[in-house]
Amino acid sequence: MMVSLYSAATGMWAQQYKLDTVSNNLANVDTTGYKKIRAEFQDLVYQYYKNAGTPTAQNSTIPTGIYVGHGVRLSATNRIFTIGNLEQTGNALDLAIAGDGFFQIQLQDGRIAYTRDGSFKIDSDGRVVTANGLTLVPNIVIPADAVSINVSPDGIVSAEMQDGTIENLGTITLVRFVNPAGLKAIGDNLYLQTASSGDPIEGTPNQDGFGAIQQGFLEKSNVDVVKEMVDMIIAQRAYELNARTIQTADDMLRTVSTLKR
Amino acid sequence: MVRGIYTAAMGMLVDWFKLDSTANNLANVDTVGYKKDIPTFSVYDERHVYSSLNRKVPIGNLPYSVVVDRVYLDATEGSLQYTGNPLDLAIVGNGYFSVQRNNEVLYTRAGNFKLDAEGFIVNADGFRLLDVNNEPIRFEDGFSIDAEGYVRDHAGNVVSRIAVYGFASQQNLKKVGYTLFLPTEESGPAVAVEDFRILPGYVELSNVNAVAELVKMVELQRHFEITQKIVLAEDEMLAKLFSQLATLR
Repeated sequence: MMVSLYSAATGMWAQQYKLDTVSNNLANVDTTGYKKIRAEFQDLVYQYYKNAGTPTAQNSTIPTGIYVGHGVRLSATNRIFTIGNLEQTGNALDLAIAGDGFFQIQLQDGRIAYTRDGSFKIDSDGRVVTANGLTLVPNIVIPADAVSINVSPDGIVSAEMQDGTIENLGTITLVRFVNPAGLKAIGDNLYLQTASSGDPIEGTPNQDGFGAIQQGFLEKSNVDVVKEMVDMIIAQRAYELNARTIQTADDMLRTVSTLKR
Repeated sequence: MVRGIYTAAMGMLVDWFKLDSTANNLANVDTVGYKKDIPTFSVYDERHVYSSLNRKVPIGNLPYSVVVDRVYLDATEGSLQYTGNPLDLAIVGNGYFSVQRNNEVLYTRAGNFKLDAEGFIVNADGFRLLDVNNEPIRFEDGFSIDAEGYVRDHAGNVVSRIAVYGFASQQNLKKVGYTLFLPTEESGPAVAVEDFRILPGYVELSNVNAVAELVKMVELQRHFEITQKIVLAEDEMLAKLFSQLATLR
């Protein structure tokens, strides 16, 4: 008798969750390398009062049975790894990956994290680091007397020295995952591998399906503001619809309670 | 005791069932690949009514009560939404994807697929999408899916082909939840179809029409209130009857 109340409650809960993901996406609309999250839903199990094929009194069988569903559940929050727009910055250490792949970053505890945020800096020792001071792997050290830095599409980093000579500083390698959506986001634009992402596959940029490195560009977030706003409207209206169901069920229960005076 | 009370009460129970069904449809208004439920009703018991003068000639039928007859699913296509995600697949027209759960094959139109750690295409629950040979479809690396369901590796070679099945009567599919369906005797077995078109980068939205469901809900609520009035009226009649009987004595 109270199935509708609970179904509607699952609906309200699901839409609230959708709004949470939409607001996180919108908050990160301008975050370099951010990948949007999508909340996905499924219907819940069905209760069969009468199974299809049950014989009826009229010497026939019920064709479809009588069943009722129990609402909705959140089935996945899926991170969508489509590529964001590349924006030119002109900064020599802004690197974008045009295609598949992640940069490798060493965390303070020694673990390797992965990112598509290529806004690198140079720390006091000349090492290439992220905005938070975590070092890029393999580590590249820029000599203090370098005049300009050049990163080729296949990841070779070279510097022009004051005396005009070109010095090779190393090669940036990328990794990719069979299932990037399975990576665990730990904030600061960093991801960690999990059992569902698979092991990292390392390779050279611009080869074997890896994206080319674009120096002087940053990858913007892949959040589409218009779509997120539409999703927000849908979440709000669906929330209201389910609230309306609860109100109706409540009104009907009140009607029942006036049956006995 | 008085038949009218029971008949009206059955009507109220049927309204509750309608509300339960509508609530589930509305909860799934945003569920990819969801198909709405439509409950139907029938007269439970009908008796011939005879003239009091001549007990042999029936003068009509009197329905005793109403019950939920059956629930069938409305298999009409939901609208398609562009997502740009290469693993989102929508089927245009009739047809269902097949996914494997343990040793069982289930059917779905929810095309929001993902990859698992081994590179198989799976649905949200990790059930693997099957190809025309009933084998799970795997990608090692780089791939594309075209409108005919051919899956290619990054060199452009065909790896496998996604299977799409149809049913003689989609309305009689059994819902198992999680936007999955099973064939029944009435739906007929799954038959591979050829004339399908897959749209990569799209998902099929729920086919629930929020306005229609809302109108249905308002309607059933008012019906519920009217039927309640009938129960109250029957009760008043009984009260009057008993009080008058008491004064006669």
